Amino acid sequence: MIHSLPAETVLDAREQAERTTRVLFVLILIIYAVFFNLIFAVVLACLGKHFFFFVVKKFWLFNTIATAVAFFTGVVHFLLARKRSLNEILNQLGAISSDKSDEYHKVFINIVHEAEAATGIRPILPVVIPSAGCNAFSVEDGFHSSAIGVTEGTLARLDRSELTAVVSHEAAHLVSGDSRLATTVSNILGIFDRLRSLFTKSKLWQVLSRTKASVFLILARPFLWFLATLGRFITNFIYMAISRKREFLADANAVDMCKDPLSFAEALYKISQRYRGSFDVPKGFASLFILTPQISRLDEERGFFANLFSTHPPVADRLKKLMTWAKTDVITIKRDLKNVSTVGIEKNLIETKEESPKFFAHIKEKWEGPFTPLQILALDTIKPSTFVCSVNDDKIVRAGDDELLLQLFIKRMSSVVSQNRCPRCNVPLVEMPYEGTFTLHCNFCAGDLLKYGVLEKVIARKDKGFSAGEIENVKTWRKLQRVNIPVIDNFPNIRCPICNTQMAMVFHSMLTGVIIDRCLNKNCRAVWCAGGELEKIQILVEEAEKAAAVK
Amino acid sequence: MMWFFLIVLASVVLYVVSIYNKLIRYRVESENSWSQIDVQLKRRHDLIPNLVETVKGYMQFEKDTLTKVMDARAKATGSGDMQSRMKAEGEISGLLGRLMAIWENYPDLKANKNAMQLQEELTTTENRIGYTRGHYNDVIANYNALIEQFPSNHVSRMFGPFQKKVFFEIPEVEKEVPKVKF
Repeated sequence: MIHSLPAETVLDAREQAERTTRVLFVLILIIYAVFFNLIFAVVLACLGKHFFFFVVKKFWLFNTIATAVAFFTGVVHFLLARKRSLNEILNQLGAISSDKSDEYHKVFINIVHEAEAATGIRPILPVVIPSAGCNAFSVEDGFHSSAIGVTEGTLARLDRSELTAVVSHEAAHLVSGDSRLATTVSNILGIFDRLRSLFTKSKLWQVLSRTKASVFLILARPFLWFLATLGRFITNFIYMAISRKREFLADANAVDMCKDPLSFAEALYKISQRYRGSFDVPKGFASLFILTPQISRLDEERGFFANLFSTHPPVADRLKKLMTWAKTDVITIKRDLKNVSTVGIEKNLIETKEESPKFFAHIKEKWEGPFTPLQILALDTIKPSTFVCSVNDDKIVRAGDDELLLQLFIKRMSSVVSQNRCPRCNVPLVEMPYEGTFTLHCNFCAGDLLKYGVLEKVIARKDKGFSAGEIENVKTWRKLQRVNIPVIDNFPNIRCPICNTQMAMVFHSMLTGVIIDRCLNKNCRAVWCAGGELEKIQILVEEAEKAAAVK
Repeated sequence: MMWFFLIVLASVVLYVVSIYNKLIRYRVESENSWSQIDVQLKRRHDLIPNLVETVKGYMQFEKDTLTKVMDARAKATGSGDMQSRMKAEGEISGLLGRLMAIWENYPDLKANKNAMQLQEELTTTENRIGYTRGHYNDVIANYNALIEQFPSNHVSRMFGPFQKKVFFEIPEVEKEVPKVKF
């Protein structure tokens, strides 16, 4: 359960965040004032010698105009940075809304609702980044809309109490105004970046440099670029100077909220094992995350420079503090986590595959088949009135009279059979529960259609166990594939069953070497895995993880 | 002098009106808060039969607890009196807390997906009851204090049926730490 923070703690933290925001605002105004005065001088120089000397005489008047324009632009810049909408930020981070029908997402949604009740911030949007890596973040935009997000990897690897601790940490950032400050800073940095690029590759600049004032421009250009860079540097510098302290503070507040330092320490340890390089984060957004997703040597360093130039304190230091509160050490945490993970993987290994009965069906004056019950579920041409004949006893009955098939027809009515058709066999795909989520499965070719984000969920989760034989087969397949590199053009390209866009055949990754079909439509991005490919990817990723853990 | 009396009288009337409005506000707020608790309690009542049905096969040694949970649920849903209902609800909270604590001792139960989903639903419902209960008790504390304090107690007695409300308290059963045998 997440508890509320004391009012004084919240007020102190909010006040500090507001103070930093004010400092940033003044900084932006100063930078713009210098910047606009220079621009003004360059423009006047372009207008000609006489006009320039006239302006020099009335220097103070023109200086005041330039400064006023600068202040106005600075205020607009700042307001724009504050008023960027939540959806825009979430789109940039690649986060999507959580799915209520997904088992793992449901737990996360419940915990975020508890955080809403504890913090009084309503609503907090629970979002997910489809990545097998581990991380978590919180965002608050200028309109006070908030979101807490996690990656699929975090959901798959953390238990409820650990996830509660992570959500508490993010909720602590929201309550103390850190998330809003981080969002503002990242937006300010983004605008400075755009200004810098204006002075390096802009076409407008090339046109201007052909005018009379090219001499002035040659002199001013590096100076303006330097000014934008300086603005970016100082903004970053101010933010980073406080960012590390804020992370420690959020850790302490999270422990206060969830009252479970051990779970938080375990969660942070798990995330620290696989948090980097798993997904792209735009520049300036790294500070929103519980552990920085970008690779930086300084993050794990200590000392003066590290304190000034990195957004997050070293994980080791954070863990050390948490472990002191939890009265434990890293060795105990590692041992406990090892025991839990083996139990989780082994529990599902006892799986028996029963041989299902097969039926011939009388379709369009012809006996066809034999079909398994699952294939009959997908075939809409077989209705309860169709005659079927079991392979085992040669008895001809109507399909609706068979008890097993009757259950399937009831299932078909409850819309388990989707509207989308298999791109290879052209039969309706059936919604199948898999690893706590759903895939659209073809009961004929055993292929799976995975909507955007589902493949990452499946890879991150380990509910389904694989037998030693299955693992060995896949390993052998991979070894052979390394010798005989597959020729992709052997297969005809297929169209996406959801949006009918052309699908492209791509390697899933260098690690697995499995060829999958990915929809080229940016709004769809569904994936088609032929029969057995999904399991191959899962086995190869899990085996690679096991090998890495042993090392 | 006349003006002085008029000002005093107007101040007294204003004070009485403000106290009366405060009492009404707290009463409405407490009713609203209770309705929020009620939603969660109903959700819990719906979950309990499914939970008992799912876990009874696994928790052979906890049959007594499961029977007590069902009895308390029957008491809570059947009683019209607020005080006895709250007592029964408290009893359910205590017994469910005990069940959740010993859940870890049954690995087979942890492998059952349906049971795990029910556990998640119950955990989140209990947490939500916790939040709403906290808010309800805060409102009731203010409301009761206003009814008892001088001079607002006279206002409450003069202008209507303002009666003290019962706190939704954490029962003794819930405070008990479950004994786990190894």
